[in-house]
Formats: sequence, structure tokens, C-alpha cells
Amino acid sequence: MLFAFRYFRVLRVVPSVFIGGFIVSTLLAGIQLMSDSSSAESALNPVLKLQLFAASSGFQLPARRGYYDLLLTSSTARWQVAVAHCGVSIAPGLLTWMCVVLLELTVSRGNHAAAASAGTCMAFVAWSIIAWATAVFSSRTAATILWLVVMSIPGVGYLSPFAWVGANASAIRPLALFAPYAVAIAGFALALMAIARRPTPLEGSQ
Amino acid sequence: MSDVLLAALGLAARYRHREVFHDVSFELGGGQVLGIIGPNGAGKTTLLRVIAGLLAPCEGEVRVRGMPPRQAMAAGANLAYFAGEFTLPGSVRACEWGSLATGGAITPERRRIRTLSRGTRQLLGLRTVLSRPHLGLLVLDEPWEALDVDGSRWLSRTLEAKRDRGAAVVLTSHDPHDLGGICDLYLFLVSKRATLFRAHELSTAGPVTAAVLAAILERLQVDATMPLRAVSDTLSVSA
Repeated sequence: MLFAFRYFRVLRVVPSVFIGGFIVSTLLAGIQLMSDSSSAESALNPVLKLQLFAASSGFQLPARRGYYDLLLTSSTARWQVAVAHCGVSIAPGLLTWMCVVLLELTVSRGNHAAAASAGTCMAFVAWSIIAWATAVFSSRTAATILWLVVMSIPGVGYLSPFAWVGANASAIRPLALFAPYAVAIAGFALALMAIARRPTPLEGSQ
Repeated sequence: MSDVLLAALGLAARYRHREVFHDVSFELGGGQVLGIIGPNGAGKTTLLRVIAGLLAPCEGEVRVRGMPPRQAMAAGANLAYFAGEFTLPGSVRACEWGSLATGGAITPERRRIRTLSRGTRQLLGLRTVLSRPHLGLLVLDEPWEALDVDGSRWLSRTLEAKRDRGAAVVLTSHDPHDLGGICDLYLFLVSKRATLFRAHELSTAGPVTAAVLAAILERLQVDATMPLRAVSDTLSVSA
């Protein structure tokens, strides 16, 4: 399992440009929170957007290019490969979110916790996994286009994770709160099965 | 022959409705080398990916130490598989990639893989997969491709050393010159058919030469159903 984590870290499943983006987002969130400690929701919006793109790292395309051959022909089990790929893909965004939570708690001296509300947790945790699972079947480019289309469709506000950032559990209907988690679990299971069972032909040899 | 380490039983592969090959069977023991020869597009890479457990055959089965490839890998049958330099991720630093297999440094080179020459990339990929200790099965796709003289010598010496330590080796090439004299078995993959020859069937006096392999390949490209008895005719003609 450790080999799989190391492998995906070395391969930079989340490219440096995203890591830089997360660092900048954290700094900007810090500045924003220092001027207004109740502005965590707007500070988290760019982080969540970046996370949707960063977590959509894609598995099939690099696997078909042979980039994962060394890992897929090692003794590492495929489920471990899937867990490591998911973990490395979503970790930078989740860490950034955690940083913003700590910043908000520190700056507001514990008076505000919008960054750790039930809605924010759902938006970050569930949608990070949904983004990863969606991209497993395609590439980062395809997933990015998908997210841009989803974000630009009018009337998807209710379904959008951005609508729930900062919302308390009491303000969200239970179905709306738990449905994304259910979708994330189902998506993770499907993605795991795909990684475990799907063949990996080489792009150039088909 | 030593215990069977790798067995292919009636393998067939297809992409969607396009058949790549059918009825590929062979057995390979520890310390033996199998050379797969065929023209471009014959299905050599596909066959190697089936052997490595990256593709499932549509018919037949592969057994590594009596188990399906993935199960054998999980059980500790160390496999070294390399499909070529183009499968290395270009954005990774050479030294980082080299340290992936064993944790030790293969090369001090800090440049990104995409900035290296083709031969250097090929050598880096080979050195990385072959650096793992206690390898039981080596599956290498056109390993001599793009290597210079020193690289080729290093590869030949390494393969010999691994074979002498009991590893089974599977190699492919479209060029008979690469595989002449080094294999115990030769599998010709031509027109979706596989024809297996043991080295002693092709040459009773010394190693099998590239000329003999080239003559058989040429003959099979004309008639892929060439029976074994026709080999002697081919050999006498090529001699």
C-alpha cells in the first residue's frame, strides 16, 4: 500500500500547478478571514472549485499509456492501488480545506465554524470522491470539461456543492445532505471495481 | 526441462471484434528464455500484457507458478514487465523514477524523463524494472529498441545473469537479429497464428542464427500454416 502511495506521489497525480493553486488559495483565505472572520464561505469557494479539478486526476488514460505498469505488475493489490490513487488525488484539497477551518477558528476565536459545517463537510468530502470517481473512467481533460459544463448549466444550484458550503445541518434537508455521500460511496465502489477488473491495454497496441 | 514457471494455454485475444491472435500455447521453465518474433502489429505487445496480467485473454489462460498472473504476483512471484520507453511518464525526474522499484538510486540524473534521449529513457526503464531483487519472470517488450552498444551489452549480461539465477525470460522483437542465439524457445506470431519452435529443432549445431529466424519468419508470412516438417526445408534453403 505504501508503495502505491509513493508511486502516485512521485508521478504527481495532482500536478504542481494545482498544489501552487491550493497554497495561493490558503493565503488568500487567510487574508480574507483576517479582514472578515465570517467570510469563510466565500474564501472556500475557489478552494472547492480547484478541488473538483484537482481530484479529477483520471486513471484509465495514464494506465493505458503504460504509466502505471510498474505498479500494476507489482505485488500491490488493485484495491490498494485504487485507495492510494484516490487518497493522493483528494489529499491536497482536503488539507487546504482543513487549513481554512483552522484559520477560521483561530481568527474568529472559535465564534465561527462555517468552514467545518455539515454542508461544507459534504461539499468537500463527498464531492472530492465524486470528482475522483468520475475521472477514473476518463481523463483529467474530459473531467474538467464535464465540471465546467456542470457549473455553467443554469438551474443546477440545488445540486451544486457550492450551494452547501457553510450551511448547517439544520438548514439542509437530510436527503440533500446524505445523497451526495451515497453517490460518493457508490462512485467509489464503481471506480474501485473498474481499477480492479478492467483490462489495461496499451494505447499504441490496440 | 525444469518446473514450469509460465504456461500459456490456448490463448486468444481480441480488441472489440478484431481478433489479434488465437491458440497461443507454450510452457516455459525457470532459467529458460522465450523469444516472440513477429512483424509490427502481430500482437506481441498484447500477448505480453496478457502474460503480465494487464489484459485478460478472451480464451485460454495464463498460469504463473500454477496461478493466474495477478494471484501469482500477490503471492510473491516477482515479475519485471517493461513495454518500452514511451510508457515512462515524462514529467517525472529520472532519479525519482529510478528509485521507485527498490528505493535505492538507479541514476543521479535529475532531469525530467521527457528531456532524456530515447535510448537513455529505454535504459532507465529497463534498469528500474530489472533492479528488483529475486525476479522470477521477466517480460520485456522489444528491450533492445533504441539502446546503444554499451546499453545492449549491459542488457544481454543482465538477462543472462537473471536467467542463470533461475528466472524465466520472455522477450519480443520484430527483428530476428535481436533474438538469434539467446532463446530456448521461439514463438513466431504471424497472421494471428502462433508457431512454436524449440531451439534444437531449428539448429542442431550451435545457436540459432538470425538468418534462420529471418528465413522462417519470411516463410511464415507467406504461409502461416507451415508445419514443423517444413522447417528443415526452410533451413536448408536459408543455409
